[in-house]
Amino acid sequence: MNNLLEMRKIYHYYGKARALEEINLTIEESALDAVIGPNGAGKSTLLRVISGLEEPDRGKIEFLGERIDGLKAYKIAKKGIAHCPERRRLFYDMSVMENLEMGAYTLKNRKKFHELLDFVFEVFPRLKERKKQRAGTLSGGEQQMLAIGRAIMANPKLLLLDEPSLGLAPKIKNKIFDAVNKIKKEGTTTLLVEQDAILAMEVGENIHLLEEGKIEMRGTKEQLEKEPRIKKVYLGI
Amino acid sequence: MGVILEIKNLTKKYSGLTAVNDFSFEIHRGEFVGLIGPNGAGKTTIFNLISGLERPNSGAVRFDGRDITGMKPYKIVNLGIARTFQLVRSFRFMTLLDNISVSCLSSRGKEVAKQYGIDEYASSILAAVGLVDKARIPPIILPHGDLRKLQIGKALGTNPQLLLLDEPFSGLSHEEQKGITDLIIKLHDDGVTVFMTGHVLRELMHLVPRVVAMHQGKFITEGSPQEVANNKIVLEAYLGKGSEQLA
Repeated sequence: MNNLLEMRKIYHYYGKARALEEINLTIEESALDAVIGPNGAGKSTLLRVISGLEEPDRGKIEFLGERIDGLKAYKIAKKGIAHCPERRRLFYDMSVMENLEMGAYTLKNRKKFHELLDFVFEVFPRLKERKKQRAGTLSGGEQQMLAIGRAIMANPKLLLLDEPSLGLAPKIKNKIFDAVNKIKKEGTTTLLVEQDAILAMEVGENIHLLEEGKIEMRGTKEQLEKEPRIKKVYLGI
Repeated sequence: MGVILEIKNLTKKYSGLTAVNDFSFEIHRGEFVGLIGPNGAGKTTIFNLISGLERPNSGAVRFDGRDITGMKPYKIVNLGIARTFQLVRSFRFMTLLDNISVSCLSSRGKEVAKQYGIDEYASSILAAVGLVDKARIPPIILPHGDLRKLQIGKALGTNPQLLLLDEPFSGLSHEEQKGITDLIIKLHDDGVTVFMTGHVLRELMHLVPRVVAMHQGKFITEGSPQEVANNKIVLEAYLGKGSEQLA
């Protein structure tokens, strides 16, 4: 398998507070990697540094063998990285359909647009039912579906998902994660960050445990389950 | 020691969402207690209800034997409850000394200030929080760690019996966290009752002897940090459903 993304010795600070420390992360093509860790561990910053919303203070990031650290976010998006942000950040006054169209704004090929749209509606039939509805009037779960759908419409080579379970009831969470699985099976490489460790370990092939900006452990679900460290990282003792 | 704060069946609803749900607990005079819960659990709402920033839909808050439910924040401060906020707020263009002096004008602050003189009293607070060498500087040019200390200083200026600290460590470097930790321990040793929140637990769980845990607005459990960290519902709230499969 080829490496799609490589992060080498990435550091990022907010003022004096260190958000990321010596992050080394390699994502292989077609993989589903999950980063878990408690609130404030640096999970969102990790994604923001990849998609160019933050510029890392040190280190390098390669995507398809090309340096992307320091590039503007829109240029990184054009290269094929779609970022589905925490708390959805939809265009709330636009319809479901318009939000999906906005996701596809870098796309040149009309046929591909329809293929992607069909796929989004297959994964989230609910969005098809509500395509004319204003995004702001959707339920929390539906808004999350739309945020993921919008990211897929960019036809990304790498999908970044930030905390898709946030604020959702367990049943809805499972629905969203079934969809994440389906997207992965279609071949989209995915990097998921998620506070709900159990859910993330369920879908992630490689799990990375982030604590205070550092990757403290990696492995498969079976390997990490046996580690008392996870509880300690989350609960402090 | 007697009960200083009593929360009884407190409920706070926003349209469609119950942020605090039939919540009850007590804090004794001189105690040092932590309030934990994942993001959105309702911790700040509890603080808002105690300090009078918000009124509960039902239930009661009693302080020092007196019902303070729904009382205005400035009246609550004058009874002896001070709080800090998760996002630092200060008078950005006034000197640190003046920032503290403002809070010394509250009725309990004034009582002490009268004995020493207001500048003297405000300086002693700046010394206590480790900012005395910056007395003539405005907050706008200070780093985040100093602003957190200033917040605590402003709360202390009101001469509180009960100090509520909302996320005092957030956004700080390790060194700055250590400074705040030492300060809080000192205040507690000096007799202030301290009640603090934290969603990053690494600091908090080693600091307080007693923890109250909440999730989705509800009281889950209380006890020593160790007991609370082993509670099944607490684990599920932090790690997700099925957390018992973890070692």
